[in-house]
Amino acid sequence: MYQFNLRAILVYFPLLPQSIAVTLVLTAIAVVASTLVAFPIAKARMSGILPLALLARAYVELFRNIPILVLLYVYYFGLAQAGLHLTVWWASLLALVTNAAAYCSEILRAGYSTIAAGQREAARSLGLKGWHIEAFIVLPQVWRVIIPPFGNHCIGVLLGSSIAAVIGVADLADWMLATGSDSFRYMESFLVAALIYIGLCQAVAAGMAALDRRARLGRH
Amino acid sequence: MFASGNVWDYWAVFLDGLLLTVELSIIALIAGFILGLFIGLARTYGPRPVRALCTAFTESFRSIPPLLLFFGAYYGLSYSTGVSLSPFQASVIAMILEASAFISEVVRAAFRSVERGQWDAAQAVGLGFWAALWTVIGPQAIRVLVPPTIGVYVAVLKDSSFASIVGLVELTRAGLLVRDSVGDSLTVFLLLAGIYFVINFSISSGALALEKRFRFAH
Repeated sequence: MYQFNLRAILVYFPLLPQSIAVTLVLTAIAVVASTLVAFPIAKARMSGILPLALLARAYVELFRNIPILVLLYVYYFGLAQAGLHLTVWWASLLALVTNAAAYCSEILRAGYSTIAAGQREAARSLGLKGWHIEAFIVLPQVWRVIIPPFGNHCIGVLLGSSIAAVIGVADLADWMLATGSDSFRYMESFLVAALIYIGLCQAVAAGMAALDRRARLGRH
Repeated sequence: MFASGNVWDYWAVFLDGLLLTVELSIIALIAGFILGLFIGLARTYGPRPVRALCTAFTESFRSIPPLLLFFGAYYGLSYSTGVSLSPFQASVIAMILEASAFISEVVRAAFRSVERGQWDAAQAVGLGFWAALWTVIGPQAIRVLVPPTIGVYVAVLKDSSFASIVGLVELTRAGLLVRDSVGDSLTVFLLLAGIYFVINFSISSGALALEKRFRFAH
């Protein structure tokens, strides 16, 4: 008769910190890289130059509508057949970044659309130029508006990073798969991993809420 | 690896997989909608302890990666209850949990978007809570509810690809199987990506058109 017993998987717990670290590092790199990729996409979509805007729109629609698991298979197995052998780590990262950039560019676009044209005009009349206007006038205001959706986006990337386990990156989801099949304590390993993911999501949400509060206070 | 034949010879395998993917996601959406509706309403109008419980449900199942849900539903439930679930049953359970968590958020936002004055007006003409919910508040919330629900459907359909992990031969697993017998990874996975894209893009474009129509109806 089965009995729930967490002690049965206690010997696997020392592997947890390492796997959580892998999940967090993968998530952090993917968030940063996808945001960098998302900027030119968002800019292209708002450029008013039809071919550029269409290309950016095509990117967003394409990568929002393909399951991230299938993307991973295309990069890991498909590209290998075409002669480009990516490691499990790079294939996972590429899947996460190309997927996340599509969502992130939409968030940025929404953020930019809230900036009144007068802001740029005022900055120009003060003598600010090009990237100064972008970096010191526009971006800080965009950032304030997008904090809440950006937080959700980070959580989405964190959850998505679990695909890496499918091809064998030793992240938190992989810890669960390995522990489960090694000990046959599937329920226990599921619950432990699930609780940690929930905890991580709550931590990200709390962090972003704190940033949001600070940004709101600064506005007055 | 034995490589034989052409990817296109296996179109029937892809079609079967696709039908199962669609079947799975529709069952999950309908059951998830009913469950999510109750949870969302309980979170909006329920007494405090019920509200806390339902919030915990939503927050939990929104924060667990789908890969884990399928794993937990298939291996976890089978081993801990002794009832061996088929990959299909386990996948349905995992997807209902995920869909209902998403839907409950949508429902809560939709019902809260209905103005407070509508409740007062309903009360003033003598309607009780349920009558007001059914005849006054509900119809207004439905309009707000439809577009994001279709968004949830696309998300659920995409996440159904994780059912391949527990051995269900839906579209993604069908692709993996064809790849094993043909050996042409690139064609197979690009084809998979293409099929998912066409379906999801049509659904989300439809949702956008619907959203415009609903907006005009006001």
